[in-house]
Amino acid sequence: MDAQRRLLLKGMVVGGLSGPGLIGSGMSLANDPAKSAMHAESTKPILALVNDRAEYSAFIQGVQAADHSGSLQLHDTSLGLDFLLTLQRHVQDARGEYIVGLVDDACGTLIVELARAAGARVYWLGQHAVSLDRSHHQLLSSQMADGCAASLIQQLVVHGASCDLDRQSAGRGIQSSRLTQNLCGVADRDRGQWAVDLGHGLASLGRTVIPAAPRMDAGLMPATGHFISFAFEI
Amino acid sequence: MGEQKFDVLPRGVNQQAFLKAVEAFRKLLGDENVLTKPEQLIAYMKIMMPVDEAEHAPSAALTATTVEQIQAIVKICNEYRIPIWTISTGRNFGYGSAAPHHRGQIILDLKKMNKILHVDPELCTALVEPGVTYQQLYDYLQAHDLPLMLSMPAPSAIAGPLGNTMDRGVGYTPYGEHFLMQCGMEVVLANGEVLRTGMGGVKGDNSWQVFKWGYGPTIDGLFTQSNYGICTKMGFWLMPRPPVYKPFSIKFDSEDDIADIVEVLRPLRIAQIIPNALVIANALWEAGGANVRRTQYYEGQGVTPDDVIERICADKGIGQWNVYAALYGTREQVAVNWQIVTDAIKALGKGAIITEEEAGDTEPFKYRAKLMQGIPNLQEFGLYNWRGGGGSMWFAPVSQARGSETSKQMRLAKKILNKYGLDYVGEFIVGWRDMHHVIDVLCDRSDPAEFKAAYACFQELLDEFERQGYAVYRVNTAFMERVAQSYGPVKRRVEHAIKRALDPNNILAPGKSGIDLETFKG
Ligand SMILES: Cc1cc2nc3c(=O)[nH]c(=O)nc-3n(C[C@H](O)[C@H](O)[C@H](O)COP(=O)(O)OP(=O)(O)OC[C@H]3O[C@@H](n4cnc5c(N)ncnc54)[C@H](O)[C@@H]3O)c2cc1C
Repeated sequence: MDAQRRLLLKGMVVGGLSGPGLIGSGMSLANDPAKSAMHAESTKPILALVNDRAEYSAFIQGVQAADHSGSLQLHDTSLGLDFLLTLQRHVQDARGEYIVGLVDDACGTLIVELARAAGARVYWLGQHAVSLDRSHHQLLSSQMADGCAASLIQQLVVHGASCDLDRQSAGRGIQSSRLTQNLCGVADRDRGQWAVDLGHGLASLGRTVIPAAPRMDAGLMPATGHFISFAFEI
Repeated sequence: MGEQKFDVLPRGVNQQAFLKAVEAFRKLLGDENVLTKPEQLIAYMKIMMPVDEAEHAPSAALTATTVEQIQAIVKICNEYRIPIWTISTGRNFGYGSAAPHHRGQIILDLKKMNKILHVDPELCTALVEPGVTYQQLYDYLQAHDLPLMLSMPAPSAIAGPLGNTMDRGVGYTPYGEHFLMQCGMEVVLANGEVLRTGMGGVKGDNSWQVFKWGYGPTIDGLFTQSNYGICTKMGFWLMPRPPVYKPFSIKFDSEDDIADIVEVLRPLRIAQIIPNALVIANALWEAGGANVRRTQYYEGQGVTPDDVIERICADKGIGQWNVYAALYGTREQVAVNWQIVTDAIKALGKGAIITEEEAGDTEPFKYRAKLMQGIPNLQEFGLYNWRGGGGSMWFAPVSQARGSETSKQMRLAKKILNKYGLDYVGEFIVGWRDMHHVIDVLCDRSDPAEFKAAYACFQELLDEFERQGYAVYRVNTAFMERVAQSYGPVKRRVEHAIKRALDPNNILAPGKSGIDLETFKG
């Protein structure tokens, strides 16, 4: 286990798995009982999916920091057939759960398809390409994820990273909105902040106003590369 | 339910008429099978072509469970002039995914019609509904201990035989040309009648799944890659599982070897020494299958430089070209054919043969060996991580199985792709006498410049290949009209004459393969 991942797992309780048991590491994340004044929706359990790599830690930090009183579980994803068939059974059988995630393109393509086949309500699909000097975000979302989109956009502006964001909002005639920002000389920590904000926003699904996410923990690796994000309800 | 306002409407249909149609669908199917809310439709909009999602946004999606429901659906569609785009398992990645041909079409999703109706272990046939996946069939064969083998495309576990065959897809076993192995279809026509092809119309017949041709014109092919009907059942042949299966790979170190590879393999393939739809994959395709990401080797923009590709090959034990083939049969048959294959490669003087024992647990050998044996897996999705960014279109020109042709096509494709900063990620799937030259045009959809470049690149690929006398066998929904033009005006007029006769209201998948009564000006 590398240092990044150790940092990520610190404070998490490895818990039992629901249903037939998802493959990979499963962790129930302890929630802060102090965060109790919540949106009604947030009592639903959340399953957060990420690839098993250090750059996903910032996203998990964000998910974990969200105000959420339901159970929160984290699972690694992979291209392995066992994992995907187990996830398929889970999305078909489980009810009343949010599944959010930030994963690579291959896993993301498959997970979104499983969601469609299971008749899940998909609130958010994001495509992210992030390099050290610029990020591209392409979002397709419904009203339920308006708060998340607004918070991601605001945080991208506040933290000053160069980015292009293109959002198609389904539900109002598929409206498009764009953000382009050119800034240089941004600190590493700010470059990685988008993933914390995204995790925080997706785990706060249904809220129209989402408080600012915490700053990315020092020592975490900024997420660079290509990613798919999603949020759906089964 | 209060009056709903719809964001997306079918071409030429107003809110009021659409609402009436939706109400009729709800009455027929129940609310839970009529999807109109954005969050119910977003997953159908995840396309991989570099065009806006809005261009392929459905107005609604329906799920049906019986043939009678489908008959009633087409009746409503005729009444309100609602176009429907049918999908079975809906995993048409790189060809349009589950999204409709154009904005506003209703998706008819047949995923819930997922019964395996019959498997005959003696005659080695199957009859399935549209929602059956290869994984489901595979599990069925395993559970019933049936010594039969499936042929499946690479997204095997989640794709399905009916949808794949309707789009004339391919697999990697000796039964890899799937439409060739199809036998008997049941089709709901636009007027609601149910047609059974081949022997299926004969009362009391039991040879529907064993004799393809029936009597008079054979019409199964008319329903594939077309919009003349909704297929609700399909029969196909299964291969008996052989006592001995011997997969192998042959690694070639130079890109220039492609012509020699084809020349040495063609006679073996035509003579059925190598009986399966063997594959010749280039280095970058292999890299994707071996979970390599470009950024692990190269952080620059544009085309991956040759020296980087060479480094990946060296690190991962990949060739510039990699043949995957297999032998099937009794121990004696396989031994004889193995001798012929190894002698041929020896005589060629290049190419390193790798057996299953030598490859061990390594990818991509492992997943290729599974595909050639009809065992589902999803390893080839690693291609999507090679470059990343969610953009993929298959450019799949047909080529003669002739060395000079394949090398000409490869060079032409590479030149055009590289001009737009994109990589050549290609393989040749060797058919009986043809090759499907399948190129994955991978791009980053979230990068506006690459998005535009990939679209222009695809256009140029189609144009340039056409100029040289080549055309693709299948294409994504954004380019269907363009590709139809390559096949000439007479074919198009015939196709539209048939469409007018069978579906005068143009309700079934207008636009599929360029067939659309509203836009055709022939
Ligand atoms: C990594 C990767 C590798 C791939 N490898 C292969 C490969 O080896 N071989 C290959 O063929 N493809 C391949 N594909 C492309 C594609 O994913 C498969 O062809 C897949 O089988 C198609 O999806 P499906 O089976 O779910 O069919 P569907 O998506 O359900 O159907 C395909 C099309 O057929 C028509 N259709 C479907 N059902 C009906 C019906 N009931 N009535 C009328 N028309 C209908 C529709 O036009 C539909 O769009 C690959 C894709 C990826 C991502």
